[in-house]
Amino acid sequence: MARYVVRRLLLTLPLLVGISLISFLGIQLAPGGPISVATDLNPKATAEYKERLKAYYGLDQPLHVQYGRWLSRMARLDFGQSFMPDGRPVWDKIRERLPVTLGINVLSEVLIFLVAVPIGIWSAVRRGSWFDRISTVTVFVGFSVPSFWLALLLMILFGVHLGWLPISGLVSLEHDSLTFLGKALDRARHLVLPVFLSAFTGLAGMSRYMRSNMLEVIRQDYIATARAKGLAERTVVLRHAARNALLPFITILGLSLPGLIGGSVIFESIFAIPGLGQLFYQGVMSRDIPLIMGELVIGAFLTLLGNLLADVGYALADPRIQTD
Amino acid sequence: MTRPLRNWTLLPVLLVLFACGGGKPEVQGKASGESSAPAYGDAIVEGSIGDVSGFLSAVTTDSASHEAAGYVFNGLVRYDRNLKLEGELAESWEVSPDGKRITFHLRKGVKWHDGAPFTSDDVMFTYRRLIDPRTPTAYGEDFKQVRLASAPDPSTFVVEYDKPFAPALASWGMHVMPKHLMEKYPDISRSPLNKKPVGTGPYRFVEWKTGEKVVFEASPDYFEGKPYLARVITRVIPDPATMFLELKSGGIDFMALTPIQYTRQTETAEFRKSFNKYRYLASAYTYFGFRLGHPFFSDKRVRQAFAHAVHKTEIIDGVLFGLGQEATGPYKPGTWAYNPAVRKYPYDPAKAKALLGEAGWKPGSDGTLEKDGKKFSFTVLTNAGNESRAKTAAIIQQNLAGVGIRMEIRTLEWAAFINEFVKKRKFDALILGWSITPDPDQFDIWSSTKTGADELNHIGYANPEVDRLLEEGRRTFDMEKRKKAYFRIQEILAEEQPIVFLYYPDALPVVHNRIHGIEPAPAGISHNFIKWYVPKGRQKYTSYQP
Repeated sequence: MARYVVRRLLLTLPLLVGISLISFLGIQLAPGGPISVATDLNPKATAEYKERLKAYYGLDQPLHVQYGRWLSRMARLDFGQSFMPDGRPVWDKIRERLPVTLGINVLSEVLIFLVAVPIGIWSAVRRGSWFDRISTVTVFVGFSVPSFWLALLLMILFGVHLGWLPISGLVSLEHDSLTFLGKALDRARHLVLPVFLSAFTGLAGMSRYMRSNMLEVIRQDYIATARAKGLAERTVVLRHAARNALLPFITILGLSLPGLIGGSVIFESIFAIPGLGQLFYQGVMSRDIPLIMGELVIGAFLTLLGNLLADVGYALADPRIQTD
Repeated sequence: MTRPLRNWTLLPVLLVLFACGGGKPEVQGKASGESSAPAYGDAIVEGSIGDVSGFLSAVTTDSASHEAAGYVFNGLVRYDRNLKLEGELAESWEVSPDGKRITFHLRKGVKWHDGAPFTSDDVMFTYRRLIDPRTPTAYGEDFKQVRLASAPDPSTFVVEYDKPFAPALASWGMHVMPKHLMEKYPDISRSPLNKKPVGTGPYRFVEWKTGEKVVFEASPDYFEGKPYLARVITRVIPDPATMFLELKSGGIDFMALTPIQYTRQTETAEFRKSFNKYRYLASAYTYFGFRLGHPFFSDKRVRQAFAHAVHKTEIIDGVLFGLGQEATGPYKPGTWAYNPAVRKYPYDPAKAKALLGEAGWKPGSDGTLEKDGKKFSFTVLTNAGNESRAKTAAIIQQNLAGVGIRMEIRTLEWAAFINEFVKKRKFDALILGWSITPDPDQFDIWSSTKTGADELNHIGYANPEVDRLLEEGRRTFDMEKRKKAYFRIQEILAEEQPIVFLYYPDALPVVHNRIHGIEPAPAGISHNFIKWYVPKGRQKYTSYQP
């Protein structure tokens, strides 16, 4: 087992380098350098200022030098300093926003899991029933409805007309003057809409996956055996079928790891949540290369990590997988 | 307040807070009948699309940062409600008879927010940092024109120029930075003050939560009097639709409306009950530009024909819902440099056809104009993501089809548009906008010396008389002489139509009506921000003690 993990780990190294090279080159190919945001069509920006700015950020060096420098810094977990005028280290900017994005995504993943698994099981067991049909329509509505549009509708209903929930942000302006309980409540109220929305739109994938796994498993001989033994239907479904149907979920959970970081651009913009998605969007709009690279590399790293965890998890959970 | 992104900006927007617009202000909504005596306290919550990137405006270029910095810092001069320069940290100034020396007499007794006195040393420090090669500033150029700067005593600051340079006076609106706190940082963008500013302005910095909000509190010893509103809170809300919902639900008090919001979504009785809408000309114009080197467009008559063929009122009604004004030149109506008596081009397709015919363009077999066997067909470029420009392009396309000209529309991502097409002069025509600075010097846009790849005269305009007048206008402080030069420039531009001036859009701010004391003026509404107040009975955020 340990050898398997080590081998998988070693395999990820060249992948990581490859990903970093591609993202580095991809960004260099985009029209307009990083300083163009500050200098394009700005009459006060002289040629000298542009050169000065380039030298300041090390952009006057040849590409391979820039890449080499960046790679060596990255190996030390130093993502460089943001090109934004605040000039803060990229890692600091990412770190301070990480908990917000991570928190919301974990909450919504948990919610998705709690809702999707029962829906999937139930619709598989009662295939073709009213419940199956309604839940299918509902999850597909969630899947296909544009999330920004639904977000606005919910904001209009709960924020403007009913006035029950805050529209955007993470905390209210008076947050600091509230008691501990008040603070928690305040935060929870702000989280209701974003978490609900992100769970609702993500429900389809998980529940359909669960449903088809379940259908697959239920047809197996050992389920027939279990029924033949005279076990209660409940035991058959939950203990024998569902446990096996849950196996592929390990892979899905592993793959959703990078989504924890990157999948929030639209959400965080609409709900004005200061998370990583918003940061990434700003970085792209202002061509903040170190920031974009930092987020890309972290995203890539998490994808690889997710894959690795899924593989290892699978090996642990499913004795049929060979690890040697 | 927010501004549309992707406007071609003729900086400096340094005085953003005090230079919002001008023209004929119009107020909608009613003042409430309750007691409305000025009172201290309460807060105003503004919505902003973008987050602040830093508070030292010398090293930032975005409007969100400049607006935030405007609360905390002061310049030596600023634009008043009528867009005339007035003293801020400078009590007064004198220009020597030859126009080469400006002497600023500074206010006495002004203190930095940390209590240290403000002196001419601070101004000198600011000047030195702006010309320092280690400072990554986009605004150094104006200050490099200074031949000699001196601070003979704590309340006097003198600058000398090689040649008289009229726009230089406005450049001293640059925010003055505190020497005693920043001296030890050779690169000011790395100074902690870029994140926690200490200034002399009406508001003191309280906190900045990245991506969330910036909070300021009234400075009790501000030299023009303590502001009434105890706090200013700027909330970052990246999505315009969300921001509008926040406004309606009471989450913010102050934002800029879009034309459709102004005309269609805010006309309800309920909205009027809580908000006042304002409307005045923004300091910007949108234009249809030609690459003048293009064989189709080098003939003046063709360009004049375009001006007659384009239905400007239709564009204003269709795109801006009527919230704008026909543009006739590069200056804003109502400002001193604006010349109202220039040649106008009313919508007249027949006249356009006649002018095109004079220029040798005759209808071909399919109705499209032809000359020397070539069809009049070209492509106009504009940037993606700007809905009003795309709609404008569509209307112009229809207008031109009416006179036998075929125009394709292509929208491009901003950076690709600028770097691959505009800078390389790979365009036939384009639709873009310029913002209009209070100082009328537009040397960078119209001078024939400014046609380099990175320079702003990308249409390639060259007229010796305009060149001479541009030079004349910037080399004298005599307002009458300047006015004469700029009036003549506008006549020439109107006659030659190097670009078709389309429209000046309206600025459409909306403010919660518990906030009183707003006086619309040519400079917009923010010029007397420190006099805005909420009467005692209507204060909402009462936990902020005045």
